[in-house]
Amino acid sequence: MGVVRALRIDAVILHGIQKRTRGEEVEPDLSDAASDLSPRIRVFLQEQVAQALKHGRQIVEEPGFSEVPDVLRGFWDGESLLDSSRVLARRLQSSQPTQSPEGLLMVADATADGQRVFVIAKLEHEKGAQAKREPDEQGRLVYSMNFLDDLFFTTGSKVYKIGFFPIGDDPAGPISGLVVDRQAAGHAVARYFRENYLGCVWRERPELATERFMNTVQDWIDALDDPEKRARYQVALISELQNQHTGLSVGTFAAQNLDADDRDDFQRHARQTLPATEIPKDVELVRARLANVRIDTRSGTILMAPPESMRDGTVTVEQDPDDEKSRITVHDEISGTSGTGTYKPPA
Amino acid sequence: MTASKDVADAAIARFATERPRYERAGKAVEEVVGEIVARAGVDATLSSRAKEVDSFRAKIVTKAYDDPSAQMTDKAGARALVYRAGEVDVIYQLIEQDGRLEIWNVTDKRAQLGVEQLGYSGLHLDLYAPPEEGDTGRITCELQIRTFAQDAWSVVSHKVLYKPPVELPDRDKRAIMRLVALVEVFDEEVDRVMVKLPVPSAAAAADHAPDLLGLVRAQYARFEDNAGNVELSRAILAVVAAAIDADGATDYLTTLNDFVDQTRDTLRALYDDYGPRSAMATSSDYVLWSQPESVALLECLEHRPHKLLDAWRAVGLPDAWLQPIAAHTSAELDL
Repeated sequence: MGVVRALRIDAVILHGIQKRTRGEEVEPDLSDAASDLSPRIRVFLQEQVAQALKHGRQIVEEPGFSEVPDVLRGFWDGESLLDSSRVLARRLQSSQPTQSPEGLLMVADATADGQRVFVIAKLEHEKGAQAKREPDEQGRLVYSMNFLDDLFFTTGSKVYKIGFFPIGDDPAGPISGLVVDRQAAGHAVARYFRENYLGCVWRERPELATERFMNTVQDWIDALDDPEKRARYQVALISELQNQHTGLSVGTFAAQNLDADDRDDFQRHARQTLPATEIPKDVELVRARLANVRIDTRSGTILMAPPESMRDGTVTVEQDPDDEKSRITVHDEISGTSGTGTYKPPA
Repeated sequence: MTASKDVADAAIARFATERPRYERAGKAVEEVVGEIVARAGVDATLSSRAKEVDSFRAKIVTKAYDDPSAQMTDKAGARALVYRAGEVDVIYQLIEQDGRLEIWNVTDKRAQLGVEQLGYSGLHLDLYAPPEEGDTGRITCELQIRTFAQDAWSVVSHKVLYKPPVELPDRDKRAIMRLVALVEVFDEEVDRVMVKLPVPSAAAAADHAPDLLGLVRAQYARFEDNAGNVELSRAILAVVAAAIDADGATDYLTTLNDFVDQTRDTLRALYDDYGPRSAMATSSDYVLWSQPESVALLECLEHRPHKLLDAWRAVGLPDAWLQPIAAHTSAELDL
């Protein structure tokens, strides 16, 4: 499952999820029927979910973790949406940690690009203000304001968690899909939601996916002609892998680090080997490649520089306009010199 | 010889049962023709229908059919309306060259008119609809190709002359009939003027926004019958052209056509939800979904999103217009 383009929500049921008190069983505020979907609210929800899924990460069922996958299979086998959603609400109520705030569970029967999907979303209440121009008691037109504390899933909101599951070729088989959780620092998907509640684990081991991300980006950087750009993007790649964000995304990397002219070309290259979804980051297999930027020159000179020194201008690389060679400048204090390795003449 | 009552009743009952299949047959022909004309950059508006059961019944009663089920060839119908009279033959040739729809009979109403006669001048093709699993025989669909002006006259004259609630005096009938002369003049003048307009071509597409308008209209017509606002189209297509140009893309005609072919079902679902017939059509944020250039925006957002966004912002277009379209692509843009 990659990017979802045409998402159509056919039915939605909302249940209220209470803040859990330690040691007490709390019953969610259950609905008795599906919510009415006006065309506008349906389209709004579709867009919000589709937009959120751009940050989705691929997951698969891990048997024995949760009863939620069984509920989905039961629904696809003919159980009603209401009954299924009630089980899901009770399960969420009992599996969420005590520090989790109250909110809504939204369960939706939908199709994505023609394929039937099941959407499970935990949505937290949000606050906002509403302004309305109307006459006051003296007949003057003024903007009156209302404070609203029962909003949910507002535009730009990040206070939600979503599980998104397309029906498989074998509806009775293991489920797989996407999970989105942009709420936590670095967008770390809350483990309780992914494992305890949805009963899923990452589809691909994060350390392998991260290594593939690094190799893919590295290949693209190595193929660039401009040495200054290569050095700059190399630093960006290392920084991306070292930062606190827990996910890797082709689009985000392009938008935040590459020149505008290079972004689309990079995305086309990257999409050949990387998913359009986010990759959970784990640098275990690439840690040794993150300490320094290494520059090899044709003469056999090797420069090892910490990424920070390239970011702050201590080390700069530029194309010499007079010939095809590059100029590497190290503007620094020399703290020591030593001999190392074996001299290897240039090929 | 007219069919016996038993034969007629059986044929009506059978048609009522099979009518959904004829609806699908008409739709399938509409889709194939839409694809063919869009690929060629011909701006045509397509529609299809299955004959109503009432109309089928009436035709059996009034026409001399031995075997109404077999002899009535317009149970499934499709129509292609064009701006220029010359495009009628272009579409016919394109369908022949494409070969997916087998034409087994051609009725050229123009050729049936003598020099001293005036009348309806469309081109009707009897062709076989794409087969479906379970079909027991080939299903014929009548495709009518004509100009918008011919269509207007045909629809009105059909209602007034052939199916009037009361019989009109000859003077009024003649008044309607002589309007067809104006249709001929109208079509000739339109053809004379439109021939001077730039013709969409693959080579020119990336360089000239006006040419893109024809291309996107032809593709958009596969989903929606809506011309949109031309001024807005020109402004947006200038941005699209800049993005295509910056990306070094050539042969945009093929690129756009391939994109629409590959995502046809998805696009249909999106236009159903957000297009000019949807509940969102009155929302200003969704204005571009009712514009033909939306199809090129979707293509660019899928294949060159950053270059599109650069060009978009360079001319100061609001991000809010792009966001509702970008939401349904793989583009990860900070809008």
